[in-house]
Amino acid sequence: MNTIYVLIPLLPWLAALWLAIGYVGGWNRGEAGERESAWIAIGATLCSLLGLLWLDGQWLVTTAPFGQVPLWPWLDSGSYQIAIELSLDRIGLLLATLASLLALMTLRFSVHYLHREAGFQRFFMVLLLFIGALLLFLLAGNTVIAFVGWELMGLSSYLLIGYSFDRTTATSHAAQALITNRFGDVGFLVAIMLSLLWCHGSAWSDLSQNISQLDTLRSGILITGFVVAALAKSALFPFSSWISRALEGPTPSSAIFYGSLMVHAGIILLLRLAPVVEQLPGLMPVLAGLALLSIAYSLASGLVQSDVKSTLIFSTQTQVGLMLLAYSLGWFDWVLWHVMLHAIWRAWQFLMAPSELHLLPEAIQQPPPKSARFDWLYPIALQRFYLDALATWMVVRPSQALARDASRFEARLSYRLHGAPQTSNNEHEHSIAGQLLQRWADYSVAIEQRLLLHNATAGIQQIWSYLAHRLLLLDHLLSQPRYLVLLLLVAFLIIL
Amino acid sequence: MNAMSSWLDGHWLTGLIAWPLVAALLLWGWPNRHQVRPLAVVATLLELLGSLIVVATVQPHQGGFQLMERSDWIPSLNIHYHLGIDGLSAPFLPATALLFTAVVVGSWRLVPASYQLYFALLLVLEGLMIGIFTALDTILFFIFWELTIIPIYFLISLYGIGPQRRFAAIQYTLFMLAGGVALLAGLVLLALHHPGGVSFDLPQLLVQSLTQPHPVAIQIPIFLLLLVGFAVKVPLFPLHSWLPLVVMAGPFALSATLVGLKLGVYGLIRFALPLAPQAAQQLHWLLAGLGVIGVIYGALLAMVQSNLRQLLAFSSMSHVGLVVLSLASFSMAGLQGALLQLLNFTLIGSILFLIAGFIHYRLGSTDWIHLGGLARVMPITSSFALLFGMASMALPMTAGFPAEQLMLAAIFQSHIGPGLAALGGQILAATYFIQYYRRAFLGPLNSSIATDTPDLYRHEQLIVMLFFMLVLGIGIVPSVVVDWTRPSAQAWLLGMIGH
Repeated sequence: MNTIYVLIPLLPWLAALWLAIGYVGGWNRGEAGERESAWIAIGATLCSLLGLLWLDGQWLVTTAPFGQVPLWPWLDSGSYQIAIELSLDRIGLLLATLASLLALMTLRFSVHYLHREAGFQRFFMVLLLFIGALLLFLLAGNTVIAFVGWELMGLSSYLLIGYSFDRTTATSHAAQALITNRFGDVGFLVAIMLSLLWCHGSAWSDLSQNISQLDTLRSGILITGFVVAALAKSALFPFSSWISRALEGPTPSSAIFYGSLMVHAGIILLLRLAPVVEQLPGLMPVLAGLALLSIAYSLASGLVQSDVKSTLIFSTQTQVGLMLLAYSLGWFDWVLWHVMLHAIWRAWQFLMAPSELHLLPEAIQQPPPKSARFDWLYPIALQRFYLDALATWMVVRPSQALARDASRFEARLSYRLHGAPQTSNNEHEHSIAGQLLQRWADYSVAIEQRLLLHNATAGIQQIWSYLAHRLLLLDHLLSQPRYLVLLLLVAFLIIL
Repeated sequence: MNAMSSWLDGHWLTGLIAWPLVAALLLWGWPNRHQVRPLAVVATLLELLGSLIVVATVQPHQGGFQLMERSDWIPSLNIHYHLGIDGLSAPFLPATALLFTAVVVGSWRLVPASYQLYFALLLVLEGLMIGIFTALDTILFFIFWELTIIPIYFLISLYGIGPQRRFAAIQYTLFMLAGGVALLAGLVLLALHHPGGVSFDLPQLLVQSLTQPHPVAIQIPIFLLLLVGFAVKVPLFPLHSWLPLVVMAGPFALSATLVGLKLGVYGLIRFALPLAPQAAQQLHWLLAGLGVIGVIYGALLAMVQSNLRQLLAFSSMSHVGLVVLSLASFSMAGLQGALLQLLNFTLIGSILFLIAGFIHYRLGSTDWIHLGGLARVMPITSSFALLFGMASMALPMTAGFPAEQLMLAAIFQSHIGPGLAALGGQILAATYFIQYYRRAFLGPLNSSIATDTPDLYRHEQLIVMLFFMLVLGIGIVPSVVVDWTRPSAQAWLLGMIGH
C-alpha cells in the first residue's frame, strides 16, 4: 500500500517520458501539440500536489507525520545495501507541498509565456524532470535516493540554462554551471560512500545515530562532503559565481530554479542533516564565516547590477547566505520558515521580472549615499570578487596544462610503442622493439670501444653529465607549481 | 529437424559458436549481394534468440559451471574441447549477440561496398567472442582469443575509415601477438604446475587453486604473465596506445565491439585473479595503481581531444580503470559492480561509438572543428548522444549509476586514497564530455553543414531506443542483474579469499 507514495515524484517523470516519446514519435510537435503537452504536465503535477495534500491532511488529523517509509529494496550486494525509502516527515512534507504548488503555478504561467516557442515541448519535459527530481530529493529517506534527485536536478538545470542552444553564451554558461555543480556532486558521493563505510547505512537516521562513534577527523571529512555539496548547489561562497550566469533560460525556469526552489536545495540538505551537524560543534563557525562571505559577495555585487534579473539573483543569494548564517547559529526552525517564505516571495518576483519595468516608478531608487565611501569595492563587486578568475587560475588552467602535458607524454609513449606510419619521405620509423634491438647492438659496440679501446674515464664522465641533465630536468618540472601540488596530492593519497 | 533439436539439447554452446561462423561462410558466398544485409540481420537475430534461450536454461541459484560440453581434442597434451558457462559469463552471451545485432543493423548504411566480406568478418568475430566467453579449457580459450585477431585485422585494413588503417591493423596485430605470448606462457606455466599432471582444464585448475594452492613464489610470475596478456586487451596504461589508433583508423562497427566487450577485464575475472588468488591479493596495489592511473590519465587525455572517436577511446580507458580498481578490492560489491559496468560498456559505450558513426556517415567527420549546432538539424541524435553521454557519467536512473555506486563502495572499503583520486576523474569526465557536446552539438550551426541533414533513420532510432530502454531498465531495477549473478559471484569470491 505504501508503494503508492512513490507516485508523487514519479508522476511528473512519467509525464516527461510521455512528452519525450511523443516528440520522437512526432505527434506532439509544434503548436498543435502545445495544448496536450501543457495539460499532461499540469495534470501530473496537480496529481502529485493532491497526493501531498492528502498526506498533509492525514498528518493534521493524526498529528504525527509518517516518518520513514521503506518501499522496496533497490540494490543489495555485499556491503552495499540500499532500499528505496521515503521520509514523509515535517521537513519533507512541508517543503514538497510548497514546491509542487509553486511548480504547478510556474507551469501554468509558462503555458502562455512560451506559446509558439520552438522548444515548448522540450521546456515542459525538462521542467517536469526537475519537478520529479525535486520532489524525490525533498522526500528521500536516505542519502542515495536524495542523490538521485540531486543529480537529476543538476541535469535539468543544465538543460534549461542551455535552453536556447544556438547562443554560445547560454551553452557555455550551462557547461560552467554543470561543471561547478560536479564538484558538489563529488562531495556528495564521497559523503555517501564514507557514511556507508563508517556509519554502516545511508538513511538519515543511521547517520545521526552512528556519527557520534566516529573520531573528529572522520566525522569532519564525512560532513565536509555534504557541506561542499550544499555550498555548490546553493551557490554559496566559494561556488557563488555560477548562479548569476545561470539566468540564460526562459524566465519561468529561472524563477523556479534559481529564484525559489533549487537554490535552497543545499540549505535543505543541511537541514536534513541538522542532527548530524549539531554533533560536530567545530563546524558551525566555519559555516558562519562562509555565510558572511556569501552575504558580502552578493550584497556588493548586487548593488552594481544594471538589470532586473541579475539584481534579483544577487538578492536571492543574500537571503540564502542569511539562511546559512541562521543555520550556523542553530536556528533550524527559523531556517525552515525562511526557506518557505523566501521561495514564495521570490517565485512571484521572478515571474514578475519581465513586466517589472512597466511597474517601476519613474525615478529608480539610487544606492545609499554611504556606499560612495567604499569606492574601492566597486571594481571588486563588478568583477564579482574575482571568483571566476580565481577558479580559472587555480583549477581550470592547471588541469588544462596537466591534460596538455599528458597528451604530449602520450604522443611520445605511443611513438615509442608503435613507431609512426610511413612518412612522405618513405622512411619507416621504428617502434620500441626495433629500436631496442638496434640500441642493443649500438651499445654493445660502444661499450666495446669505450672500455677496451678508449680511455675509460671519458666514458664515465659522459654518464655523469647525462645524469646531471636528467636531474636538472626533474628539478625544472618540480619548480612548476602544478607538479609540486600533484606530487603533494599523490603523497597525500598514498598516505591515506 | 528432430535430430537437430536433439543434438542442440546437449550442444547449445557449440551451436552458439558455430552458427555465426556458418552464417559467415554462407553470406560470403551468397550470390545476390542485395540480400546480404537483411540476411546478416536475421543471422544475428537468431544468435540473439539462441543466447537468450541459453541464459533462460541456466539455473542462476547454482554457482558452478553449467551446460558443459567436453570431448577429447589433443589427448597427448590433455587438451579438451570444453565449454560451459556460469553466472559470471552467461550475461555476456546475450550482451555479445545484442551488440552484434546492433552493429550489423547500424552498419546498414555505413559500409559503402562489398558487404559480403564485411558482414562475414563481423559474424566470424561474433562467433569467436562467444567462444571466448564459453571456453573452459585454457588452450581452447587462447585459440579463440588469438583467432579474433584475424577478422579484426581485415576489418581495420579493408574497411577502415582513416588514412592510417593499414598501419593501425599491423600495430593491433603486433600488440595482441605480444600480449598473447605472455598469456600463453602464463597458461602453460599454470598447466605444468598442476599437481595431477599437465592440465589445461579450468574447473580442475580452479578447484586446485582453492584446495591446494601453489606457493606464492610460483603464483606471482603466473599472475604477472596473465596480467600483461590481458592488460594489452583491456587496455591498461601503458599498453593502451593501440586503442586510439584503431578507433581513428578502423570502422565504427569494430570500435563499438572493441569498446563494448571488454574481453581483457573478463580475462582478469575468469583467469588471472582466481587462478593466482594469493598473488593477486599481494599485488592488489599493482591492480589498484594501474586502475587509478587509467582513470586519471584517460580522463586527462580525453579533455584535449577534438575528435569524438578519440575522446570515447580515452573515456573508455578511464572507465575501465575504475573497473580494475574496483576488482582490486576483492569484494562482493566490487565484483558485481565491475560485472554491471562491463555490461554498461556494451549498452552505453558501444552505442556512443555507433552514434559517432551515424554522424560521420552524414557529415564526414566526428571532429568538433567540423561540427557545431548539430542539435538544430539532428535533434534526436543529439538528445540520445547527451543521454548516453550522461549515462556514461553515471547519471542516476541509468545503468551507469548502480554500477558506479557498487564500485565506489568497494573501492572506498579497500583503497580510500585511490578512490578519492578516481572521483576527481569524475569531475574531469563531466568536463570533457560537456565541452565536446557544447562545441559539436550546441551553438550556432556550422556553415558547412547542410540544413537538411537527415536525423536518425528508423532502423538507427530502433537500436538506439532499444539500448536506451535497457539502460533505463537496469538503472531503475539493477537487482535483476545483480541478484542473478550473486551465486556465481559468491563462488568466485570464495575462491579468491577462501573461507
